[in-house]
Amino acid sequence: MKLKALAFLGLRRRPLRTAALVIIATVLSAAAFGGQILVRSLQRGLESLEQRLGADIIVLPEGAESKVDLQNLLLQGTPGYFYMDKSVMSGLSKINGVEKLSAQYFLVSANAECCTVQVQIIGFDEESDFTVKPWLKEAYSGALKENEIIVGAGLSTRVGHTLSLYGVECRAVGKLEKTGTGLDTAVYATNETVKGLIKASAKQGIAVLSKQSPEDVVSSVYIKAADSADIDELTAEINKELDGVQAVRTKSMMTGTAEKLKVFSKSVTALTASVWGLAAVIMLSSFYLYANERKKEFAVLRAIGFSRRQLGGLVLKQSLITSGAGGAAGVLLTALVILPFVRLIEQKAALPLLLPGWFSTLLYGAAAAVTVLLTGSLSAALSAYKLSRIDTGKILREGC
Amino acid sequence: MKKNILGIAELLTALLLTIGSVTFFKACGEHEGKFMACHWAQNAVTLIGIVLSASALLRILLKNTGIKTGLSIGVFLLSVSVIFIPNNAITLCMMDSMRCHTVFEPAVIAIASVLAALSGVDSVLGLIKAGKSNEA
Repeated sequence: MKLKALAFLGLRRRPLRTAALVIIATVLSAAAFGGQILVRSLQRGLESLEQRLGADIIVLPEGAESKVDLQNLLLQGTPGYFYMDKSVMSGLSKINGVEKLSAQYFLVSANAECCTVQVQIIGFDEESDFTVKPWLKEAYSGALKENEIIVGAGLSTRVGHTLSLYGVECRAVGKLEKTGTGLDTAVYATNETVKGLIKASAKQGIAVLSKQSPEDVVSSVYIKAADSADIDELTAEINKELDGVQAVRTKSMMTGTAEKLKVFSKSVTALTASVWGLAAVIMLSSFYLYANERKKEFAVLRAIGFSRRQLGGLVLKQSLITSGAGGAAGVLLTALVILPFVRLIEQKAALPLLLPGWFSTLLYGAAAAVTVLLTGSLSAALSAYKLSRIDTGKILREGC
Repeated sequence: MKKNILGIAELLTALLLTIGSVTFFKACGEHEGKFMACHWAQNAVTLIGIVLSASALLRILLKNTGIKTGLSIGVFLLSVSVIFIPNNAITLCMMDSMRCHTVFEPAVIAIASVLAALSGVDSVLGLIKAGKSNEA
């Protein structure tokens, strides 16, 4: 028998104990890696949503419904439409402290070609826009023409391909970057294109939308406040000056989501800490008990010439094998469960999720595996210390 | 039983892929009498799932080590190819919030990856065993 294989053979001799240790290490690394990935994805999703809106204030029609509709659109991609009179634009432009403003018009498509779901169509004014075009992944030349669209990253339509909306073939000329929000599945077009789509929808018998033309109404107005303006005061002033609308500070709209995120992060952290604590205690006890059981075996090894250092190394090697295998398995299992199913988790949790890049994900995985290795090694080090202090003569004489 | 443990795991995973692709992780349903693109991806996965299940069953029943290893290699190659069916070989629906993107595609990738890992290990062990018996 080769001495190098002693650690491996020792583990093979006790398959149940070895399997239990590997499972504990797997749970430990899965909790650390999965928790970190989820919390980081939520943070990135929220940051991305804030940046994606790109405005300090959003003006919506009065009533809670439109705010809820917009939140559903942003977080879950549920299409919605609500309108207010376009005259609100001139009222807003007169208010001091408004630096930029751009209106958007929401239209919900009938089932788009090849899909059983509706698509959110957003009409926007290219000249005043400051919220859509900064997110273009690849810029197109010139201005958007009629029946030309920009598509969100969550749509499979490629630049240069067409998408049939209400039977109108619209050519995609641009694609936006992925944001992890509901806006990823929206389609953006000029108001001229939207008017054409409304006409087409009327032809298909969906007459309710044809009365609401982007010439007369808008769905939301995005406002960029001047640097000198106090955003809270400006929001209050808009609400005071204009009837039938509600101005919402973008940050306050995110408050609910941010609070959900805080609760989620705390729960994940608490769960991970409990799993860690429990697993560390189990690992420590397991190695401690194992050290007691193996006193005789180690005494024999000492008697045939093994040094204390070699005995310590043997225990440490066994711990590295079990925690290394478990750590790697935990990371792989989590990657298999969380990474592909991230969109489903996003839908069920109704929270914006944006996974970290591949390199960061790999780093998180490596960090989780290394931490499990360190925990395992620490547990083993204590047992190794205990074993190195055994009185070989006494154990061999008395058998305990 | 002990000799066939990997084969049994492969068979169960292949059955999960086959049955799941038409039940709990199936792609989007039909709409107004029409099937969408993802339906054909689902059919392809189910068909390959049946072939994988049959191969895994043969891998358990047959005694010859060489044939067993050959079947494991076949299962490995097929399961790797299944990973690339949804959205690569056959396109899925337009929006990534649809069921075929959120449930079908990730489930196929996850299960096919597990099957590829199991059959990969089985193939390597089989090749080592075959090599040893050739030396003897």
